[in-house]
Amino acid sequence: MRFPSLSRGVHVALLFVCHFFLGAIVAVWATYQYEQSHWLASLSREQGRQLLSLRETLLVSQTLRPATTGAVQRELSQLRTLRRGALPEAQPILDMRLATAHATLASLYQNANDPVAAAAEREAARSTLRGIGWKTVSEATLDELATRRQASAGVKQPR
Amino acid sequence: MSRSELIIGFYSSLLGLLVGLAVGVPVGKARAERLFSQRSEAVAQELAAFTATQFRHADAAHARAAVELEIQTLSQIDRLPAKYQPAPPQSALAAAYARLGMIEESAGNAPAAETAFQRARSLQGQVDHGSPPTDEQLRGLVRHQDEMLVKVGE
Repeated sequence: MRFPSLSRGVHVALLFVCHFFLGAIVAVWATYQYEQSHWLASLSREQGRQLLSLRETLLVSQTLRPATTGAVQRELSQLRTLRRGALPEAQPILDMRLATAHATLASLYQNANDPVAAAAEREAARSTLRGIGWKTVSEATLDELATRRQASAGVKQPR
Repeated sequence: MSRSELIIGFYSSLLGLLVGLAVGVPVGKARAERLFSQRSEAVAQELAAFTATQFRHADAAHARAAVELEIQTLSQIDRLPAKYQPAPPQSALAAAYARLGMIEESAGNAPAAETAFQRARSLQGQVDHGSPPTDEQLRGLVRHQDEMLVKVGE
């Protein structure tokens, strides 16, 4: 079977383009793998694993959502799950995030005229912060944590 | 399909593959280097912010644990090739050791405080390429870092 001239040209161009993309994708993937092995090789296996794991944990826990009661409750649940599987070194950082989420929830309940729920959340935040060694936890500190969390929710975090 | 068409198809595919590889390698390399560099920077920033908060609010044991984790992580980042480091971590390491010195000092552990300040002086001296800083200058470095972190958090 013989192709007509135009069809043959299109066929050749298609072969070129398809193989170009295939080559580019394989090259990007292989280079990434090479760079990753080079990056890990410059650390010991344990240090590399620890650094990667720490980064992944912090990255996942950073995905802040706008402060609505439902969103913050989901964030709390996600942080608790993350904390169970996290490295011991990352746990105090996650505790700080948990306390911040509780403080935010307290502020939301307060605005919604639910002082009982707000007090319970404030107590949860205090108890979590005492667990990571905080000596005193004032109302002002909890408000500051909530305000910071709400300000950060609108900021794009580094990946 | 004639033999000549098969040959043209083969060379066209091969050329496409080679051009794709030639284009993909530098793109992949640049992206991977940027990604790993950002990864290191993000971990360092996160830990610095956590350490500064613990330094302000927590007891000596917890503040010490936070700063020791920061020192350990920055030392790991320091071992990475320069292309994976957004900025050499010596200055951040010096600030972390100075902070450790301040924690030990307030806990009444003078020898440990002196060891930490000595390490901080040596590291900051490498950064400044001059005479090592005084302890007061190191405390200023910690205060400056805290101010920057508060600004970032606002």
